[in-house]
Amino acid sequence: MPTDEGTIETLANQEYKWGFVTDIEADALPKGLNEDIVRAISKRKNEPDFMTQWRLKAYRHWLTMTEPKWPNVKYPEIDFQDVIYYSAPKAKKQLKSLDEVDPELLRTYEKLGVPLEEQKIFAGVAVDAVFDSVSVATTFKAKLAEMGVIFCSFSEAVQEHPELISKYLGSVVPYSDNFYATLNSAVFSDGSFCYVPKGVRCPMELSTYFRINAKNTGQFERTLIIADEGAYVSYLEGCTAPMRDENQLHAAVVELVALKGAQIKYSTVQNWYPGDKQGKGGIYNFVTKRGKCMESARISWTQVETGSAITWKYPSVILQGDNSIGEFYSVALTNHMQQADTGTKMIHIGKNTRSTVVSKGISAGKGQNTYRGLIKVLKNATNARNYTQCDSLLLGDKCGAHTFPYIEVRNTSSKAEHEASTSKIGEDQLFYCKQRGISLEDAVNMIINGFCKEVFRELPMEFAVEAQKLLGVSLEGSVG
Amino acid sequence: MAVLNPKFAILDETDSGLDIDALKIVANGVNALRSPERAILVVTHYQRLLDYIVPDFVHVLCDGRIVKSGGKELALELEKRGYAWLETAAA
Amino acid sequence: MAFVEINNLQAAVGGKPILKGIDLTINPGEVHAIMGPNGSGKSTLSSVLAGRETYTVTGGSVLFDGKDLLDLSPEERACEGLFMAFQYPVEIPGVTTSYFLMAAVNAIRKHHGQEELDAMDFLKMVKEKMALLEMDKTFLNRSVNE
Repeated sequence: MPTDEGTIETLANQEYKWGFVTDIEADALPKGLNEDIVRAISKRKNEPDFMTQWRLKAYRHWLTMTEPKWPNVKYPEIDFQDVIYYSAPKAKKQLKSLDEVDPELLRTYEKLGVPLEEQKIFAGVAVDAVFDSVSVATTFKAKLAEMGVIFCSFSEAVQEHPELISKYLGSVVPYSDNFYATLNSAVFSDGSFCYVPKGVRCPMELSTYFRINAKNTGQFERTLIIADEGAYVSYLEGCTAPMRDENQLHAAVVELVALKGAQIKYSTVQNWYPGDKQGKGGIYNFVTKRGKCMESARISWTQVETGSAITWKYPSVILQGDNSIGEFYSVALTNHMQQADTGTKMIHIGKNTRSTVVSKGISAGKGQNTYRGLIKVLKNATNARNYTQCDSLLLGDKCGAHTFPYIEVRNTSSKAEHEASTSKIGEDQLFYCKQRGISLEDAVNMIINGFCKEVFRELPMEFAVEAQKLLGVSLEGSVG
Repeated sequence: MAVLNPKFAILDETDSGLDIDALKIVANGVNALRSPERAILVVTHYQRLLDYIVPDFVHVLCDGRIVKSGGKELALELEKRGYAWLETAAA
Repeated sequence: MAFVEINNLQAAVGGKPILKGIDLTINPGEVHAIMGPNGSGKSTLSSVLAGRETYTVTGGSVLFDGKDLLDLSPEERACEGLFMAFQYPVEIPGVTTSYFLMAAVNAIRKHHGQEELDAMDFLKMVKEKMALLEMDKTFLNRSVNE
């Protein structure tokens, strides 16, 4: 009879299902980075001068910076001159509708289960799909426009709504923020843009689907979401990449602006290629995500991170306005040789601000999972409240879980609570399930889903189902 | 258990942590499941539970062997005399 | 033919013999009680029958409804109709009892080539059984063994 330990390993050894490559002609700039490349990207995108200047400012600043070494992850030196900073599926002319999108591209998204054809969409999710560096299709645009909601690719927003871009770009994550965010500011090629006007409740989930296809390509996309006073929007983000032996860089920036009384819910299911069992290949996911809440606004980040060789991200909330609320719900799974250093920052500036952090880390194989979180309460943030719960689950004995909570409270009326736990899936739990006829694989999935429940219930319905399946797949081979 | 409708049910010392009311509920549950198609094995340290679930046969286990088998009266006898007389018999 | 037939069953834990030859025959409809002092091997017997991997069977055989029980995995035994009530059941945080039971019921139904129940049919069935056992309905929404 196989031992449970062995079965856990078999479960974790399942293959990555999204690893195919799409054969499509690409229009790429040469490898490497210098001012000419930055200018060339800006020119390809036909950007106004303020954008070119902003990129150049970022690039010059980036030259003065060094790669951060503090995350609890190990990887070989990245040669930033060996990366292609711009690659786009070659389009013969301007696309006016989905019918004109390369059918090969549409088939790719179909394989990935992304609904691009509007008539087939039953769930009412508007999708913006980003392939390598550029946005290929945005659905339901017309319907959203009736309500004044702008949902389009970042490039389009630069052309159509330069006033919004110049006002908000870099307002939450400045071009000088950190090494990767600054690099992104210089070279980002596309991404999604969303503006929800005053008092409007966006009637459908908005979604962006990111796909890295071309070889040696870095993906640098930038997402900017603005919810005007009293507006509400729920936004989903999904990601996959082909299986390739070399590591690929993904350095994205997401900025959220929630004005007075607005609410933004941002959910991510990140499933970039994690590399093979020996740790060869996979995506380096170095992402800066941050939101700013004005008075009585609320931002919730929910993330399910199962992919990438290395994940380095801290979706954060600046609680600027009084009575604003920040939330972070996270499931991070590391299997095989995957490494994750993830968590959040909650910066309490306004009075009566509240934040909730729920982090669930799952490690299997030789995966290393680190939670790193900062709760900062400034002097004037009277009556600020934070609650942090940080749980780790270990499968097997070769993986690791690490927790680095930082709490800085400069105000006596505020309160920060931190709870942490580490557990292993017990032989007793598995035996109990098996004695009721449930297979080991189902038992492990059930236990893990139970462990992640508080996070999954924050996800929109379809996404929660997706996330549960993904966890099961990512763990196949880890039980055995 | 009732939901899973088993053919062979093993109850392992389920009485050890239960007070008398809970014990009765468990026993009622088990009794409700008695059926001509089902075999039930009750593993217990105390005779208490057997006041409510009346067994057809009682077996005494000592040091890895069944040292005595009998009807429900055997349980009552054990309650009175303890296990010592059987342990010596086994040795 | 007997329903459960245990012949000269021997088992050890970590090399230490615990069961030294158990013979026991149980027929359908019968209730058997196993009694004995602490350390006599009672719990080992039930664990071995259920297929717990920490125990090594070192000899003997167990026939269950004509099948060689010792040849089956714990989940196969469960699907064949063996049920063990645990002395100290473990908690499974975040998994509700009803969800757990439904997974168990459907695993067994699948094993027998029956259609799996959907949530509605399942709840209906459970509610009937619970009334029979005089159980509190909140039980279903609690985490397993909480």
